[in-house]
Amino acid sequence: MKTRYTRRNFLRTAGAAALFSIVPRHVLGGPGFTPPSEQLTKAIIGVGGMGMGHFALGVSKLLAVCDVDAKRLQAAVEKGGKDVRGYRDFREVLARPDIDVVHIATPPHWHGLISLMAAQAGKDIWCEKPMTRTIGEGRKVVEAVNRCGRIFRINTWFRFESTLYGFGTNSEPPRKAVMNGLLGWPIKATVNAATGFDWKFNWSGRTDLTPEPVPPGLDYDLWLGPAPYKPYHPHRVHSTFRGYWDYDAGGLGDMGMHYLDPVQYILGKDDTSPIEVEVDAPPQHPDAAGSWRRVTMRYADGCQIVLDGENRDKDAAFLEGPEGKIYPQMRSSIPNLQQRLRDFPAPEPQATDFEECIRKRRKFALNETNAHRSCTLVNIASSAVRLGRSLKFDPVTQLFVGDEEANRLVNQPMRAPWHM
Amino acid sequence: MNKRFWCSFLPVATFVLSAAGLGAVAAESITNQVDTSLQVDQIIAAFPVDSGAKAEEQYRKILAGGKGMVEVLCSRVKPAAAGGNDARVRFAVHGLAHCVARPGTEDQRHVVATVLAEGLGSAATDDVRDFFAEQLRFVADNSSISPVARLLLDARTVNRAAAIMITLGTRPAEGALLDALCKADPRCESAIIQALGDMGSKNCVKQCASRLDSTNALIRSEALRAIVRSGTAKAGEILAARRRGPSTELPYERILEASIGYAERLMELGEARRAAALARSILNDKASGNDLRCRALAVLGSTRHSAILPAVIACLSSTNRVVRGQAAAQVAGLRGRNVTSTLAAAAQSAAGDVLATYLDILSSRPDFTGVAIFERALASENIAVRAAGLEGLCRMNSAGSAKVLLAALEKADQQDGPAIAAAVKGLSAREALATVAEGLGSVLPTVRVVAVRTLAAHRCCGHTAAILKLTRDPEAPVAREAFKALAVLVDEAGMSDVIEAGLACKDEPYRNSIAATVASTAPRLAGRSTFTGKLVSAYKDADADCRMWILSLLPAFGGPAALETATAASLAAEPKIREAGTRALAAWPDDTALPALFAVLESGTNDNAHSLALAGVVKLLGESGVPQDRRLEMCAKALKAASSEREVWQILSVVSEVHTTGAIELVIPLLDREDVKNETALAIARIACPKTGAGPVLPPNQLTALQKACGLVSDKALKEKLAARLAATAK
Repeated sequence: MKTRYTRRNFLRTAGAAALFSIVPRHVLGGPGFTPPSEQLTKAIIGVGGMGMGHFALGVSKLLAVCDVDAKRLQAAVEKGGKDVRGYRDFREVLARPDIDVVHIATPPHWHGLISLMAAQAGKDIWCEKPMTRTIGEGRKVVEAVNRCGRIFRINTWFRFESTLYGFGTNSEPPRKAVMNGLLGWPIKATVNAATGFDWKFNWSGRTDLTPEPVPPGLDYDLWLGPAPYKPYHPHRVHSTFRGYWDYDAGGLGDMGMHYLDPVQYILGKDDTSPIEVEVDAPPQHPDAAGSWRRVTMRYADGCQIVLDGENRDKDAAFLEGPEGKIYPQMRSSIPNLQQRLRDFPAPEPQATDFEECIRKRRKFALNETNAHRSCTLVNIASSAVRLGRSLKFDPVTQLFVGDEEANRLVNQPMRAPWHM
Repeated sequence: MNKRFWCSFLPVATFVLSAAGLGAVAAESITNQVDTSLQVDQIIAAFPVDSGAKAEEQYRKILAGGKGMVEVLCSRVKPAAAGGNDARVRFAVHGLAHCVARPGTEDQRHVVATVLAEGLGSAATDDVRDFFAEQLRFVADNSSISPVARLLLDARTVNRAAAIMITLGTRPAEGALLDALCKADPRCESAIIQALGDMGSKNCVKQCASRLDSTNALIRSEALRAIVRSGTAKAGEILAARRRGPSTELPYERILEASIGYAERLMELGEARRAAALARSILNDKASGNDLRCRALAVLGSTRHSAILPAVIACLSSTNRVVRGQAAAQVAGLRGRNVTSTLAAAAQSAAGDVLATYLDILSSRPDFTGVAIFERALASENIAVRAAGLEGLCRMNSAGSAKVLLAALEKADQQDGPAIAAAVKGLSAREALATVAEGLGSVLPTVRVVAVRTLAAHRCCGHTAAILKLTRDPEAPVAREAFKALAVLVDEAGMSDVIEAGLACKDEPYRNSIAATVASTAPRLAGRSTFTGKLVSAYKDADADCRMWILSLLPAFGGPAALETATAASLAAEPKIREAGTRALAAWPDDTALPALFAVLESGTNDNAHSLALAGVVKLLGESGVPQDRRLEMCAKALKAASSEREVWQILSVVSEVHTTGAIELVIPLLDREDVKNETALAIARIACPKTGAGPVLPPNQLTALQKACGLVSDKALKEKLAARLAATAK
């Protein structure tokens, strides 16, 4: 008797010739049973607040957890149970041949490096956002993932699953409206409190840190890793590290990919980047990321993304084109928008089952290539905020145009012995 | 005065005058220093600033003071451990560095770079030195190399210094690193070699080669990487020699990994032929693990040359899915008919997971059109092969693949059916959908349903007529699916047919389904008056049931002719028609139906039509853009016509949205009616106290009535607001 087709994702995503999937792995071993040889395994590197959340992500079996803080590691090992082993040094995790997937939930200054090393070690990768802290690191991750034939996903999901903030819908209806020309072209997308995020827009570091002794149990040197050495202060590490340029880019780094990636998807800009960025922000501290007011990024075809950090344009449309606007809750200047959207087929389905992508060696919907582009939006914006000036960008070479200093932010050397 | 006098006097006089002169110069210098110091204090005090323009003003002052002022500013940076907060100073120095690093400010940049480089040497603590080095990374130029090079020999500063050299990436920077490598101790050596590797230095190979047998593992590893990154022919020779004679320090596997790194580097440098040769040798090396094989495949694939095909085909048979996947990814980049035919030939002998991989590859190739292999795959016992067959047919998206899928659907059992149906629904090309449309005539209801669903999903409006026929399908699921499809497919051309179908049918449920389809479709169509004409003309000769049905369609189209017909119907003698007419008017899309609805209200009937008309008036007044005074006038008329307390409530809900004095005056008399006084009071409060804005002037001659209304309002917040307004009016 033939085994039945039951893959829910196949039904859900059928239509994407290159993307869809059919058979659940457990079927291969009989209904309700997963053959051990088919069981994917994972490790979580970085088990702070985000990393602990990764216990529940995916269906892979957890075998290892890793953290440079002994206390956190201990808590994770206890949570993981008897099959889970703890490691201080992620290189030992990567050396384990029985681990298929590594979840990277470290601070962002490690994301690029661990992703690259994981790819070279033959692991598939589930990485926290932002994908990388610099554009140069992102390019290297893209190269390494493709070179090593690995499957990569970034841990943001608004382009394909969850409801867009303030929208009461996922990204499909606005994408349909834009891609079928209902708004005209070019499009201006405004992200502010009314049309998306006002949460952690401005996450600042402190400018008054005086060195303190490193607490027992924390391997601070390994925590810093590729970042420049700076004397320890508790505000630098763990839940407050995002406020420092060496490790992230404040609220922009933290939340940027969440609110920019769906915009990039809706505008169909997965294979390119803006050509210029304008910024309105106070001059920044060398170490601590500060607030900013407004960032405007423009693409070559005239499309714009505006990050309105002050929520100045409360009534701005989320998407605005010459022929119409879309506001939160899918309100629109276009009469009968919902009915008109019914005239168009659904956008191409996306491959959103990560484990299935691993098994079939298919690209995940939000993979290294398009995630690098949306992370580039974050990094272009943060570079402009950091330098306090408008910049021009070349989406092909992925370098700033005629600005050597800005390009020194694109490629930042790492502290020895770390390199990409 | 004699000569002797002059001889003794002149030196003394000269000395005194000189001393006085020098003193004046010194005094002036001290004064200047004090001035500079004070200016710098003022500048520092201005930071942090909230805008770039304000910061720019301060930077201009610093730069106007020349190198001296930049030095004074930098001297104010204090060690973090000292406890004092020098954040303002660091804001200023950092901002200044960014300011002079902009294009077109090279002279100023040089001044700041010089001061920062000098500061590196004189900094009192690691922290301050670190800060200067961090700023210098943004502004450094070749003139910074000499002072920075000294830091390469100090374990505490080598990382910062190496970062600056990497950032510069110039020949002098490379030279400084090579010089330092000769003098550095092991603690600094690895960082220097790493920097040379990062720069891709071609001149470091000799020095690095001598370190490949170092007892220090880190130095060994960095030296190997630097050799690889050099991409030179000499590096290739060194790696080849080591591959022939590995050592305990550098085992064969490590050299193999370095060799693939070298091949990748060669590709970066554009030396594809050498890279491919090396990659091929690694692929054929039995010691190569799957990870290295994947990387070797990527190197081969990036040549885009069909000569790699045999090597790739060999990897397609690998038992490792990652290697297979990587080989498949490389094939995707190769174009040419011989490539496809070679792959198709290789697929014939494949089985199981390997066959599944081939099916993926072949179906992705635009020049592959054969479906026979996929047809066979669908009959396989292996689930992975069947799944790949289905996906492949969907991906091929051709008439041929659609035909195979429909045939499979006809034969499918209950278990496989949904997966095949999903594959059919995934077809989107015009030719494929044309074949799917043939399924509308299938003898199997399942196939008909899938065909309808697929055509609807892809908005194939050209098949509306065939789908309309299926609305009469004896199988209820088919008919249901057809109606659902029509709701999204019907366009201007199809709407006439849909209406005709309804007119030609006497079956009430069927007509109701048609009416629902028309109601959901009509608002998005242009040229609605065309359909109105058709309906109005049909209305004249229709029987009563058909007339009622036509009346139910009219609000979807609107327009004067339709309104005239509905109005006439609303005044007809026959109760059923009258009611249908009024129902149509009540559902009208704009306020042009209001006069007709009032006519119904004024006609004195007290049946369903009256209730429907009043509900219609309330709805249209609430939704339409009728001016406030006109709306109030109509509400007054409606109140007169209202026959029950419930109808009065409905009208009050409209009046309470009209924030004028007249609105209050209109409803005040209703406070005397026991059955509606509470709702009236609430309406008055809402009119008087809108959510936004001040609200209308309260009629001063009606204060007593308004006080009464206030007493009746049960909503506490609203009551307080009204009371406040009344108090203000009374004053």
